[in-house]
Amino acid sequence: MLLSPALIVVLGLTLIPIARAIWTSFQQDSPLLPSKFVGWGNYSDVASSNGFVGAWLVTLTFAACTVVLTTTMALGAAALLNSSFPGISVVKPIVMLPWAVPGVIAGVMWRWVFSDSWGALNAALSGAGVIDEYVKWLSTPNLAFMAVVIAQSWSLLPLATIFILVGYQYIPFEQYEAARLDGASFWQTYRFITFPNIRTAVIIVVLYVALMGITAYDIVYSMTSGGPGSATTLASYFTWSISFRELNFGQAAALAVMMAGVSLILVIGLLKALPKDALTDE
Amino acid sequence: MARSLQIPNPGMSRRTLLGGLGAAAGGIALSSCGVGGGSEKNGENGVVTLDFVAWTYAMETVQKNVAEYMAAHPKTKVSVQDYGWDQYHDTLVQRLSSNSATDVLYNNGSWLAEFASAGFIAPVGDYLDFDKYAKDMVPYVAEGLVYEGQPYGLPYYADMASFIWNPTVAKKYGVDRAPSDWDELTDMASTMKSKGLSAPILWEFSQTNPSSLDEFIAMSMSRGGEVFDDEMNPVFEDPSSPAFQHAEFMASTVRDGLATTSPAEMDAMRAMNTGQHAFTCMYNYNLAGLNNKGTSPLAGQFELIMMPGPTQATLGYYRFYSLSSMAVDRGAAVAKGAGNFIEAMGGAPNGEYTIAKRWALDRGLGFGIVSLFDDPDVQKAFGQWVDVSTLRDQQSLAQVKREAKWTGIWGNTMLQQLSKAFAGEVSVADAMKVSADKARELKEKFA
Repeated sequence: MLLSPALIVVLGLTLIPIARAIWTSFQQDSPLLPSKFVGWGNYSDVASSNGFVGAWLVTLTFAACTVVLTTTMALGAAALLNSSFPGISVVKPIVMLPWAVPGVIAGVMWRWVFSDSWGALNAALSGAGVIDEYVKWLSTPNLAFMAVVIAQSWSLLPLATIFILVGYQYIPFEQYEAARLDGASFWQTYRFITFPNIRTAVIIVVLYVALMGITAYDIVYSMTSGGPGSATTLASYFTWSISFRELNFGQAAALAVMMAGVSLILVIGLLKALPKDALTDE
Repeated sequence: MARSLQIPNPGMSRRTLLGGLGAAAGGIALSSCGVGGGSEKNGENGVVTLDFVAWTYAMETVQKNVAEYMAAHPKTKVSVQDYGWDQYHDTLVQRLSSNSATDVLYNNGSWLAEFASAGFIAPVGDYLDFDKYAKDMVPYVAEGLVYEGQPYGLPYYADMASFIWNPTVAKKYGVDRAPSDWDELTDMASTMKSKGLSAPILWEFSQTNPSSLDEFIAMSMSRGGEVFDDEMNPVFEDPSSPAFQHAEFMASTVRDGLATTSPAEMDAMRAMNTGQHAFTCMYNYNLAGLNNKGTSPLAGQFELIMMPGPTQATLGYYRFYSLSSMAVDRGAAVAKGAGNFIEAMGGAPNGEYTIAKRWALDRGLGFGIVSLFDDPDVQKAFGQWVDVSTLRDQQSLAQVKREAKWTGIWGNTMLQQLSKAFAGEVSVADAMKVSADKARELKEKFA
């Protein structure tokens, strides 16, 4: 009985919408057409639609790249913030700043950085004499992809850093002291003391960043609108596009269910691949 | 849907407390599902509250227009919500299909059939005298606003896609006259590139920007054709068709480095103001912005030229104030209030097109009203940013594109395919084939 308020909230805000999405995914649901049951038709139509495979390849590559970049940067930032140096009280809020910026705003901001003919980066590079002709960051497929990976990683960095920083701050100082007395090198200390202590936090960061990458939308579309071509077209855009551009809510629901399924498989797969004690205190 | 959440007192039983929390949670859940649509604003004490949804453009002017309306109509309250143009259609579909309160909205002629067929918008004939205004409308606007015999609004503005160049930049890179055809534009761009201008042409293009498709069709019209025939069959997969040829042309300019793309209107305006591009195709009112000394560093350098194709035709388009079906469902008082608001914004309830004229004077927006063409204030204001004689010549060749209730959906595919072709991922022939197949599929599906 005591759990019922929480259950009602979970039911109302999570389970019912999920059930509704699954139900819709089996319907022809469009304001322009009569509703009817279509079985797996929406799933097969979406899977065979033009660009579906490409969008998933881009999405998974995007997620993988942001995982590598964000986790690497977060490890560095957390190590930096865990140390003591003059001005750390200023550096800490600066590192956390991206957290306060909404995704769409971040996307617009990064577009201003990378924009071809009036972007800040080209202006800086040109001013420094590094380039003679501006670089078409956002209209060259590979460069545009790199730009959105950087922007996404930048926006995810604060939370990832906090997770790992918490791990750092729970490492007993005595372990470092013992390692020093034993003559352990920097690398040995990191491998046998630091990393085992922050491993759980790193796993959480990898999961978090991977899921955010798979479901990313706002930053990428504010920056590139999915282009040039399909270089930055993510699966999330497909869902949005089919739903609100093509008014085909049934197919969009099917795609959303598929996306949720992939996320679930990813989470389970990552958790299964871990040592049994990875997410528990040793 | 008004609900009150009572704070439990210490003497309340656990059962009552849990029941109250459960009801509150249920209320929140129902509210999040959009049950009930508009809030309780329905003509109590004669007061009508309207939700007006606009795309983000000159919002200070929109707020001024609305404030003046409310001052003149104290029993009507209007709240304004705006969304970016790129996402406007999608957001509107989301709002209207989930019954999020929306009474009056900006609408696009390209979406009229789609929104009317979906039951999102309602005819305005019962709430304002459309026929009176139709007599003074530019013919394509008056015809376009009628769908299946019913009028669906009054014009916000009507304009065309224009070809714009910067002769100052062109001259600096060795070109001293405007191009008269697309081949000459290629030659000129090559000359300018060889003299150091990296991308002489700028296309406002992205797969999510509806303006990109309008501008592509406008330029195709200048080659002598449209994308559909009278029966709404796609004609653009034929390599000899104007649209196919123009897609090939645009793709080649990007491939050869003569052109670059800019995804949104404001970005394209900024890019043109860097002096690194000499030619572009945009909605005509942007020329007013480009030549505005208050906002544009290169103001005064930009000029309108006739579309450089054999027919010199272009696309004329209109945007309009539209009444939502939700407003009609909320009762006669709200529907009538919404109708009055639409008339004040797009019509001349006091004999003058105050708002349409303001848009023309302040922002250079074109208008769907014939009588405003002869207004001395409008002529004087337009003369400050455009050669009026060229404007009239180009306007005389503006034509509307063919629409069906599925063409908005098709446009999504067409833009995606053009985007791939411009990026070199697929050939223009393949892109046109996929788009044509989609058009045929939709035509059959929605027959």
